Amino acid sequence: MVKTKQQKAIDFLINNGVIIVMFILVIYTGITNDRFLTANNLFNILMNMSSRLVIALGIAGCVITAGCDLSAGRMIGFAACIAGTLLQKIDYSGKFFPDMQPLNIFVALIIVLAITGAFGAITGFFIAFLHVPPFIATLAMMEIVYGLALIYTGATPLGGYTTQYTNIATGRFLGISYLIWIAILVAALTWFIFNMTRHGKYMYAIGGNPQAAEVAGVPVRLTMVLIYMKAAMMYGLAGFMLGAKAGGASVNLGLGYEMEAIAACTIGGVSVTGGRGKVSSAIIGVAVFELLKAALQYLGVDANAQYIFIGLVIFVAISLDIRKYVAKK
Amino acid sequence: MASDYKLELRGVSKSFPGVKALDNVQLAVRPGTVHALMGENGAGKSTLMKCLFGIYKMDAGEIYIDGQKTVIDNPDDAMKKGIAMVHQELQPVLARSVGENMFLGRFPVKKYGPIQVIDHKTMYEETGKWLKEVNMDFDPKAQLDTLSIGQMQSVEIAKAVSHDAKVIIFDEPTSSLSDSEVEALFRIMEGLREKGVAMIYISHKMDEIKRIADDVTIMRDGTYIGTWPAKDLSIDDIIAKMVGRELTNIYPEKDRTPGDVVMEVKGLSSIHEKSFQDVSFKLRKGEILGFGGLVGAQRTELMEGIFGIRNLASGTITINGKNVKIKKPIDAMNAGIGMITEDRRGNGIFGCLSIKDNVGVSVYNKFLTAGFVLDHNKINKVVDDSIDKLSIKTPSMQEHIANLSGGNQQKVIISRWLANDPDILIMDEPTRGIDVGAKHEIYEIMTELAKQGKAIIMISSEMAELLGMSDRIYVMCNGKLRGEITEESEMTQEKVMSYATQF
Amino acid sequence: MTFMELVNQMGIEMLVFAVCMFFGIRLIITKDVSIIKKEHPEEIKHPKEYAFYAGLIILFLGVAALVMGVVSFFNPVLAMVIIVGSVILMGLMWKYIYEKYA
Repeated sequence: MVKTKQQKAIDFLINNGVIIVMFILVIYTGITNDRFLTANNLFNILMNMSSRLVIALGIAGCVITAGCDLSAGRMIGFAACIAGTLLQKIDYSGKFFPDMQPLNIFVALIIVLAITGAFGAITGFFIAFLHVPPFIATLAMMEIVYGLALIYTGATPLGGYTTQYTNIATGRFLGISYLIWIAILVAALTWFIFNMTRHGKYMYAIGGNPQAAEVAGVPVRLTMVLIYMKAAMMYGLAGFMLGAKAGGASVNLGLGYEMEAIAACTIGGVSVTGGRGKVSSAIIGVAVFELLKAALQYLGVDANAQYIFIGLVIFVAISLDIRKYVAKK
Repeated sequence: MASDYKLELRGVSKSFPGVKALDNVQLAVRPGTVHALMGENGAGKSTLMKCLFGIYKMDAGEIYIDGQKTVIDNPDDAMKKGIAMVHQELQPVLARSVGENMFLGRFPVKKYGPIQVIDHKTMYEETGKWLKEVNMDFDPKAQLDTLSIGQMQSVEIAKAVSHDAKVIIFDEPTSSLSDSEVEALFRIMEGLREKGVAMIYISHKMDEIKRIADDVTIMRDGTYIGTWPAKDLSIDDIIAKMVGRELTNIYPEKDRTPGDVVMEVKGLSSIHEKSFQDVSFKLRKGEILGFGGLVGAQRTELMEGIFGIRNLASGTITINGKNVKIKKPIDAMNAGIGMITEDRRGNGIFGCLSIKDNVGVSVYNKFLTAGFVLDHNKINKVVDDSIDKLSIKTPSMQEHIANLSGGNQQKVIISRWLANDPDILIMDEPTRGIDVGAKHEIYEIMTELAKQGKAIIMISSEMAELLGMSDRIYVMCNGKLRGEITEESEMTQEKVMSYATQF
Repeated sequence: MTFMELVNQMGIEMLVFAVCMFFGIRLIITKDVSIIKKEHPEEIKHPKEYAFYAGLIILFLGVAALVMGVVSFFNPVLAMVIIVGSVILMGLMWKYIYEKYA
């Protein structure tokens, strides 16, 4: 259908509606609240963005192949707990493993990545080899991971971390927190994988047309397993980062983060219909969400109302995405 | 006189960024006639019809229906004003019944107070009536995916007629139809003629046009060339006017001598009993091996079995003397086979990706630096070469493949497989839905490849193409190989048809 | 125990149960494959059977989640075993119906 200029303008407004609302809100908050647009606050927002970006980048792979990953939130919590139990100060009163020396943070990180990666690979296996739809497979994995986290921690919250660990959040390198550096590194790595490796190209092919991918010789099943394994490892990293920032962890950390991550991707241009999306999409989307949340905070909006608002944004973002691309495909 | 014509388009112009698609085009269709609209791809036929149907807004031009000037805002409006279109690529809802498809969006309802319920009884009764109008007698409750493509199309036509269409546009209606289904379509069109419906028929099939059309309008490069009564034009005349030059030989010379056997297939049987069973044949280097048969003869299924898309129950495949096991397409690719599938849109192209990605997807393994990093320079060069060699019309390789015409899309798929340098290339209906000029180009490409020593298997349902291009022809019927034609003298329509009907 | 404590411990399982009930029953009644396979639903060869059995499997998962939730109050390890076993079973069943009907 050929559109008049007016219709095109309306389309533009609708498609980018969330971003526009964010701009309005941010400007309004900036004007009415002079502490909002300070360097300190923006820095804080960037810190929050860093772990969310890692999650979004991980889940982007699943979304590009027209899937989803409902287990992300639970994996984040599980990872934060594992890291937490391994990195507590030796003299902490409520220490989980009373006789164990806290590990080096890199060792702990590797353990976390290995565990989450294994679970991700299992999820990928269910999806690729047993043909279970991603929605169901990740739903099931979510249950399993939560159960494991409960058993492992006995539902007790964790704390008392070593300074080496909490330093990741508080420490600075060239004036910028390590958390942000990690996010930048992961973004660069993801960009590389998406654009400069076969795996990345295969991912887009599978998302675009799975049958054609099969005919064209794409290793569909292997790629899918790798995608979910990679994603889970990134959730693990995010959990690690969140634990450092909060100085503590519980099994409920990260609950529900996956929906926000998927919606963030769609705002930026990744489509749930598959085959589209870039690293910049995730970055834009996460920025929008964090700015929105910060603005709401500064405006003194009630916590529950914030929750509802963000939920609304998620709903709208995904609906717009579907509206944009379902007809075209 | 304006009222002599059921439909008139005057002075239609339409531009897109960078290209003038239509330049002052006219069309006048008399009631109860079949008016053929012809031209190469890019001539503007589809664009003109989309303007008529309200999918595009014309930059300039007027539409007159029954002598009255009308403005058409969108397809719904077009349907209300009596214009219907039977699409080239059908979009029915397969999981639902014939009746539901007929009345999609305008279901008859029974009202129980404020509640509206679909009135199934009326719906199926009406559907039955309309199906009879178009001489079709299948069950209105039947699920759409149990019907053949030809039958699905007649449902589309019945739908158009039920909308009380004054003008029906047929856009390449016979590309997926068997001969008997084409006959059925023509019968329906005769019936529509009697009702005074104006029919616009877009097709590349010359013999059909000669048979069914009353008038012929030819377009070239977005301009109106002229309208003539169909009986005054020969096929050569039409082609000449379409391309602006004399096309003496559509099929390239078959001056090649095939070499040794490169692939031998013995006793291939599908795991499905109703599909191909016990098929054996040989393929030689440098030959074009044609596979003929009726729609449903299981030729595509056989090739899919060889390529690893379908499962085989038994049989062997020997390539260059070695036995190969093919379970997945990648095995076939490693054995040197490439396959261009029948259903471009379904499992051929990646619709939302660029040309470069569509070509590159199968060959990344060859262009790596440092073991796993994609070497974009090399890939770009290969894609550029392909665009050049195969004359793919596109501003750049980053262009979305969905924006290309069918012929150019097909060339992109061919490039993909050529980049892999296969010894054997299977082409399933390689020129379906492609205009005359592009067809010729693809025939040249195939001939060139055969000259280079590649072995090509060509499945074709177009008799002229099959006879014109093949060195040898195998004919299948109902899953079994019925005949082999090796002598040029025996390559006739009758011989092929006789094998093809040996049920 | 109070309702809040119940929800805290078992809230997610109840949610999963509800979601599975919704999709499972919908699939069983409408037998509409496009609910679980939004793209290219026409490739499934026997859509009605596939949808029906998929619905059953999803119901199974929902019930398993609920059972796991309840058992987790008494014996977390057993709850774990139940859910892992159910998921593996689910995976195998799904592969089976896929080969048969799709």
